[in-house]
Amino acid sequence: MSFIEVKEASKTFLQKDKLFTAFEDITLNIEKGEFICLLGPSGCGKSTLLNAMAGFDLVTKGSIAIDGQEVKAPSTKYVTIFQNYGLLPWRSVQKNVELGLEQKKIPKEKRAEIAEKYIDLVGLSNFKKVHPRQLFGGMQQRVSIARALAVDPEIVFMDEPFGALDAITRMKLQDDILKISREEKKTIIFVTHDIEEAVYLADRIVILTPNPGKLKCVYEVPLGQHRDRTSGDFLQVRDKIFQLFNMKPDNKIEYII
Amino acid sequence: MKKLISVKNVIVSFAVLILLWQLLFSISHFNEALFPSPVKALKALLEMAGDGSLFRHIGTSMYRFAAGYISSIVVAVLLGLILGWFSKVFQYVNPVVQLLRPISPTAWMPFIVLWFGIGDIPAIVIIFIAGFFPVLLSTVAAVGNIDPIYFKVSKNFGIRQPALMWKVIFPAAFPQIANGIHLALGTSWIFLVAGEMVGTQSGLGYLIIDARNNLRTDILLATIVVIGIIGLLLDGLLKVLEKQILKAWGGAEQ
Repeated sequence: MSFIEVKEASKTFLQKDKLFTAFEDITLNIEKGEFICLLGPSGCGKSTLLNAMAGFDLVTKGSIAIDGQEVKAPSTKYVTIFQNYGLLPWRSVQKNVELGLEQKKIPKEKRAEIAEKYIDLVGLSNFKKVHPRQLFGGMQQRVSIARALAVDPEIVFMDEPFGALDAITRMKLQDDILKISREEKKTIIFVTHDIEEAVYLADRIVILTPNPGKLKCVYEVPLGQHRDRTSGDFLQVRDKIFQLFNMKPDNKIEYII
Repeated sequence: MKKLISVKNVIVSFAVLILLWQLLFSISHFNEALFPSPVKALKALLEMAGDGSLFRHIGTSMYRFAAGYISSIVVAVLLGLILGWFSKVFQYVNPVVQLLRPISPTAWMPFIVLWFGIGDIPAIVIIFIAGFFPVLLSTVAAVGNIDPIYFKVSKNFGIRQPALMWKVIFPAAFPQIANGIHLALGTSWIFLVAGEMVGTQSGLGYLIIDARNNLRTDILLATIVVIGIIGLLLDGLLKVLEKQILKAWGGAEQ
């Protein structure tokens, strides 16, 4: 049995009296410790699928089970990181990171200690007392990563977490999240529409096609742990994904029979 | 620098007003029994300040104002948070609120006097009603406008009611609630005078009625000016307080 089991899952919405299908008949198995990217253009239901796995928005057909338990509601065992960070602007960085710990009835000193550890991990030691609005976007997303890790979740769901960041900040954060995923040994489900990002991060890429969202294939990235965005191997894998999306120009070959 | 310029504006504006006012008295023969000159009003003010009666009345009024205004905010914010959260319930409460809201608080005066007698209470109740609706409605609206992501995050970290209310809903809604509280300050201060005109023997509103009964237009005008100045000061004080809270909570909404 796999850690996360998505079985023939579909999700339909009622939108202005019309039935709208976000994704259809998706079956997917994810193992513990894997880094999975859900990749596809907008409208392929990748975020909806993530929300269904995270328990925010349940499937209408089929089932999703984590660790043998059917997903019915969000849980602190599976934390989601959003594109627009979801930080509470009235709390300092430290208090934001402590948010999930407060509900776990962890004493104050212990909370501060844990928060400190994860703030250090994401490299924001000098910004503990600062409020989120005083930070750049990339730093805000680091705070939300620290906040997610602080509750020691088994899975981290990431919904286009770097979508609002500039290219360079984004690459830096990609490196960081890779490092963290290896050190903390978390299962990470990462939604993106950026092919390069998916190739750089994922162990396996789940490729979805839109209208309605369907699983096209699951692609195992044949690259090692240390990836180089400029290496030949990397570009080859990237090309392969482009092909899967039918985005490579065809060579016009004239066949002679 | 900006502050200095605004202080300059205020001084020039008042100086011109008083100068024009005095000038009109100097060049015409207007009856000072109908409207006092600035000099006469100032004399009346000094007279009231001299025997201490002015400060006694201000003190009484401030006590009533504080009691009415603060209790109004507390009740309206608490009720607004609850009704904002149970938005289905508010859909049924709202028609009644919309019916009561446009009624001037002074219209309730006869009932208030019947129920509470005379003294401090009627004025406090009037101020309470005056402040209540703007704060209630802005609080309900503020809760409705909270970014859904805060609720998603709270759900993810297992924050449920009642912790959700004071950890997330109140601080998230606060900037908009503060607008309502600010609005209510003006309305409440306006109705202080109305509330003190009936059934009291003290306070700034009483002073106005008393001056009218004694045909002392100079005292009347001096009191009006005092009411204006205190209103201005209260507004400034609240602005400073608001700024401090918003600053402590990580800066204003963008």
